[in-house]
Amino acid sequence: MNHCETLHNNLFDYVDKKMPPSLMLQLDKHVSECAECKRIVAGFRDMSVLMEEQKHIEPLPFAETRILQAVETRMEKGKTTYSPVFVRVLKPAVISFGVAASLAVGFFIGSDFAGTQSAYSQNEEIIEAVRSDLNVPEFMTDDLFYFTE
Amino acid sequence: MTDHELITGLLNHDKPVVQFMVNKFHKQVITTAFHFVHDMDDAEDIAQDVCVEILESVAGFKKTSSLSTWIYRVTVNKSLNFVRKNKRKQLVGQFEAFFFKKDGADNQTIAEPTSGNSPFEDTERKQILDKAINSLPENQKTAFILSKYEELSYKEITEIMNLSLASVESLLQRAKQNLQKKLIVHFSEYSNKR
Repeated sequence: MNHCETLHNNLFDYVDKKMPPSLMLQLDKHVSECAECKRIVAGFRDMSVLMEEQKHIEPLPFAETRILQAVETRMEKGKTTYSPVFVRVLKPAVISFGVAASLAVGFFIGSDFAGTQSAYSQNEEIIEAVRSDLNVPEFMTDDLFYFTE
Repeated sequence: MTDHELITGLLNHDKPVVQFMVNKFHKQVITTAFHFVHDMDDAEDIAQDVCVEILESVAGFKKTSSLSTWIYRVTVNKSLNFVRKNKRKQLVGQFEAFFFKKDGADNQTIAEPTSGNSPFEDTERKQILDKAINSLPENQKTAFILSKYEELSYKEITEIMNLSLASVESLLQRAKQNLQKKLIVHFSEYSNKR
């Protein structure tokens, strides 16, 4: 690997001087001789300085006050609107209860209808018994039905 | 105030504790977000969201890491979400510009160097650096920002990113390699044009 390649692969370490001293010396010598590497190192040093400056960046004036205000507004809203507990726990519970209630009403209506049917079939049994006892022809069953009613 | 006292106060929505939390962490949150979004107003908006999120999700904080680490994690997630949304907006903007022939306002072309000892002016240097960092994959960018700008230890970065030490080391190495490549190309391009 030539010096140009070594330097290009380790620019961060070279600029931050985090290299073995012997290699550092060799690269220093190379940079002083190679115009292209000199330019790249200069540009990279610029970037390194900029990164250092950006570490110490300060928030805008009164940022703390604005953030606090936003948080307090959100807290106030949270008091008047539904809390997350309602959304996460109560809402599914209310929906489940509604579904269960609908099912129960359905079963209730269904069972009532079934009761009517069984009463009807009981009447039919009585009619059949009377018809067989009296030896009534089948075409007269309707009259017997009205009779039992 | 200890982490435990702070968490208890936040759970009860105690106003003085909320004030203390904002006072203690707002700078950390704003600067971290700024390094992702490169705009102070946007960073402040993210900081507001982060503080509200902390207040609403503190009950779910598992205390396996320090509160500061957890706040860093929330900040990183919010910042990355912001960047993703912004990218989508930019794509829509470019789409509109293409079909409706609007001016491409988001054209991030870097101006040629003008004068002075340094080959680049301050704003140009910043543009070059921001563009290079933005082009990194999300996890490399996160590791790089937390290490280089926030000066966090590898252990703290592993906790924030939920990764192993080896993964973080590898991410940082690749981030540096990628940045070097991008910056070298840029400086070489410039030097060739001269």
